[in-house]
Amino acid sequence: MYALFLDKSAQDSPALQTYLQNWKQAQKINCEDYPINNVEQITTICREHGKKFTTIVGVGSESTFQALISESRYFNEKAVLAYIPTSVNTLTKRLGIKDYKDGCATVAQRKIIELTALSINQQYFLFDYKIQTVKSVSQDSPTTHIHLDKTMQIDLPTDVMIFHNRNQELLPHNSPLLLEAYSQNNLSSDKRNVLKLAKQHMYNMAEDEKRLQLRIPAHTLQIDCSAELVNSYNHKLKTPITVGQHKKSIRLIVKKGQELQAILSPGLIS
Amino acid sequence: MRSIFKKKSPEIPFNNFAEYYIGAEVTASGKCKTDQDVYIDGKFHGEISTTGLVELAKNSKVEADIDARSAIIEGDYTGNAKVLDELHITSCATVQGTLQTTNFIVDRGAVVSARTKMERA
Repeated sequence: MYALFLDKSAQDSPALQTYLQNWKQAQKINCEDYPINNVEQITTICREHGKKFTTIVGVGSESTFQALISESRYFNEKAVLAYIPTSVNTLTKRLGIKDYKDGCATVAQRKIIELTALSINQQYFLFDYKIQTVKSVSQDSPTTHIHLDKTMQIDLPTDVMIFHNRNQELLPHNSPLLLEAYSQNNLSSDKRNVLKLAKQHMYNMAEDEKRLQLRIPAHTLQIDCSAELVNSYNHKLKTPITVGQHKKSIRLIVKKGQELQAILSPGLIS
Repeated sequence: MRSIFKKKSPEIPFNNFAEYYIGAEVTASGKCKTDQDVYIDGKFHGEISTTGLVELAKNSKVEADIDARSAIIEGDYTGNAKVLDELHITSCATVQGTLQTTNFIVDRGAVVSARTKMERA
């Protein structure tokens, strides 16, 4: 059975709704639609009904799809995840999908790749995952403590940490995980793009030495912080945060011929 | 034989693309074992073992045993360093401990209070 998770942007598009209806009829898809207004709803639905779905489709923004990935522990091992976009974003470029019509066609083709996910406190991510401290007027710069592979301890004053899943990278490396920590005040507006950040960092280094504080590879991480930590959906994270590898692979539908692009590291997606 | 004193300090490129990059305000301790370059601009205590390059930047403060292919020390270093290829101590560095390498470069102005052992490659 298919499950379609339609976020606000999908619900607000009558053209998309009509197209989806016709597409489901044409493809004879047995499907349940779940209109969602926030990410918490996704967790609840996945927890209650996740096991019965064979294909889980996020319709709307990139964050909706990422929320489905995060909750993939509730799905069957054979279940596949797919994405129908309402706008162009990094994920559409990865999966090779131009628009929602193309998204529907891609889902129907069912070209599946398997990717290894990383886990953060039992939530999963495929490419990168950002956490940051909650801003407090009274608090000085928060200190973060990182235990790395049980061999290194690191203390650093930082606001933003980005974990990169390196299982998807093509270049050889010895660790599945890369941690980068930044000072938020100086962070580039394009936070997701590592290469752009690094490039700017290089050029601005003379006047701004606090931008990048740490770049370090690891297999496992444990993070504690003097301030509250939230993820990119502003969800509070329970500390210490444990980051490691997901035991099972995530099965993802991509457009045919797009298999390579889908596994490239974030900075290489243009 | 190559002179161990070198007058002019070369421009050392900032290596923020090193696999291990530990920034200026970071304090780290433990064992760092890798086959990639390690760049430290902050404080580090422990052991560093790499088949790549170790760079200790100008304001770094490192107390560690280092085992590396090559190393550039610009900051404050205390420990036992075993460097396979080339060990370069620049003019602003302060070094204490024992140093073992095949090629040893010390810039004018560097403060070195270390037992040194050199071997031919």
